[in-house]
Amino acid sequence: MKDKQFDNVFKEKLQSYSSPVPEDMWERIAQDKRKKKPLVFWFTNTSYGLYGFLAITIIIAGVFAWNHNSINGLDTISLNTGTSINKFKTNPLNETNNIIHKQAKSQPIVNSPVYKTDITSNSVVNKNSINIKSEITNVSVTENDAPTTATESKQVNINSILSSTKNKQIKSYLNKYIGNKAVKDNNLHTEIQNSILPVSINSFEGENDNSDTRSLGQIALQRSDKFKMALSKLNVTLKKTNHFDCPGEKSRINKSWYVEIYGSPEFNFKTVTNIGTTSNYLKKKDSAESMLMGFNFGVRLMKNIFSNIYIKTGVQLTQYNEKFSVQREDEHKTTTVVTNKIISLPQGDTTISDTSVYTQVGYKYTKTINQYRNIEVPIILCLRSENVDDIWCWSVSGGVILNAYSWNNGSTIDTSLGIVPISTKGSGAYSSEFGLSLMAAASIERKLNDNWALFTEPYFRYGLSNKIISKFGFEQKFNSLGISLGIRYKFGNRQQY
Amino acid sequence: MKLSISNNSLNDNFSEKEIVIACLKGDVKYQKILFERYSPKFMTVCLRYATDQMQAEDMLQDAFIRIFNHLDQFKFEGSFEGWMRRIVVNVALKAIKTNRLSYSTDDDAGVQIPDTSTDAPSHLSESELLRLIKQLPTGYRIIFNLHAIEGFSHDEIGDMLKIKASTSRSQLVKARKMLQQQIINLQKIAV
Repeated sequence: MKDKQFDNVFKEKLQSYSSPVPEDMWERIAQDKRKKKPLVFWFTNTSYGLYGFLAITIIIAGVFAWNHNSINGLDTISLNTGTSINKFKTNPLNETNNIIHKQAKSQPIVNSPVYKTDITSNSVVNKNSINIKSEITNVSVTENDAPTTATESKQVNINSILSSTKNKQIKSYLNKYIGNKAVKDNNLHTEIQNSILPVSINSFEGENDNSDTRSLGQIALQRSDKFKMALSKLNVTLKKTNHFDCPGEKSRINKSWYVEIYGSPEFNFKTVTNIGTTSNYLKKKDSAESMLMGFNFGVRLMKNIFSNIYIKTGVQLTQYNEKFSVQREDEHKTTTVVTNKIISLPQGDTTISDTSVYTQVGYKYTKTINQYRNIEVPIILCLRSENVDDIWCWSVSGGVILNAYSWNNGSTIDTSLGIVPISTKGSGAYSSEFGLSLMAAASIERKLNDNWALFTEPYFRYGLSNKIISKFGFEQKFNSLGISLGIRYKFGNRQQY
Repeated sequence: MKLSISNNSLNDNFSEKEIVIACLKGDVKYQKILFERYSPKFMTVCLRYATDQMQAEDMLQDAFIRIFNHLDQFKFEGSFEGWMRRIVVNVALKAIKTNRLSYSTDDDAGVQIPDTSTDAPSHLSESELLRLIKQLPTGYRIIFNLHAIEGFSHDEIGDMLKIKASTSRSQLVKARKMLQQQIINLQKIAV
């Protein structure tokens, strides 16, 4: 027999041959078709998830770097200290309050060419300095009787001072560290007294008569070399008692503690890794399970540790929900039908028996909601745009979430397609559980008053290690996307230098 | 408990084009008709390539999802069934490739190839022929299916499987020999 003929026998007989298709096949296809595409493309691919996390981390670092060097690039500062001091000295109120003084040992600095500016008029800056001090004095006199009026009055004056400053970066600096505080804070007198009045100008030589003081030059060191050069020679100092609200200062630490209570719906995405089972089993398992919306809620403490950097830690409960549905052949029922027909013929009756057999297959449909619950400890670093006078505040954060304890309810299939519980005990499907996740978030908060604030925080959570190790040869982990809503309470209102 | 009894009737009332157009509009009813009309044939295709029933079911499921997702690429040129069959075969090959299948031009030491000839296996039923094919080693089975039943040339098979055409030829020869040996064995049992 020729090869072609041999092949043709197979072709003719098998090309149009029909085989029985499982009854639930259409349901399985329809279910797969209903699966929606993920909201964000990289949730379907773990490597893309990692790229996303890295990108967010880089953004956080970039924002931090930008914030830290916000005054970098400042050109030569226009400060004619000699003129400034002379003018202050002519103001008796300033002298009375010991706001500004020139130390006896100071070197001649008037009209020193070293401090000449090349971008801003000296007179403008000096004028600003004088005006600020004058207004402070006025406020301190009138605040007790009419604080509201005083506030409004100072707002106008300080704004006018700021508007008269031509250099944008100086203006920004004054606005950020002086203007905003004085303008917006209800307790204007206290704030200004704390932040502005104790400013003193010490000697040109840098001699301090108070070891607890910190020079503006040192502050400026963190921001701009040029700014530092100008101010360190001027050596303007702040006393320790000052509450100079300067979020970018390294040495300023907010001593307050914060407590956050939050909750979030979560979209969870599961990643399964084959470590020794058949792909068929994983496909069966995958077709039987689909993730539902989960949630998490918790409480955490927040503490300032460095500059604008806060650390958050606490405890949270996370629950992943999963729909498990499987249809299995449960019962085969065979029925035999025997039909007897009697045919009457002249030569006698003939009995014909017709036997037919049909089988009914009974399917058992099992459906449960699997619940993966975890008690977790988040350890998060947070960069905040902290300004005590702003109603709105933003922050970005990132960190790790450790899985402290887990327990599961529900079912899955084993390799023989039997249904087993998803616990870690007894005949459960999973042998151990440990999870480590990376988390990145951005949040916006709104202050309700001095102590309370509401916040919302979209976040992405990437499962770094496999959370579940199955007895049946696979591992699985979860990635999450959620948006937390929460409330924050601030204990105390202290700051430390 | 739910009793399921299949019902494939009334599907022939719709033309192929009518079904395709309705499926393109997302009509689930017509998609189901399409499935019911062609799934038994394609199940056979999957069974010819798969190593077991479960793998064949997975292949069929993936193939129909792919058909529905790419239905807009069918240009009503040529046979619609042929277009779908090609998808089913591709899905089957892809599923098998994930198991890191390798082909060798060398003679397999474990396979004894008889130098015999046999009569046409026309007396064997379809299910028996199917079982014979499923008993072939994976490499032989794929190439025999692609060449003898689907009708692909050895060059086409070489492109599809990233192997040389000569490899395809040698695998086909071995597959035929092995099938002939199996048929002889069946005849001996019958006698």
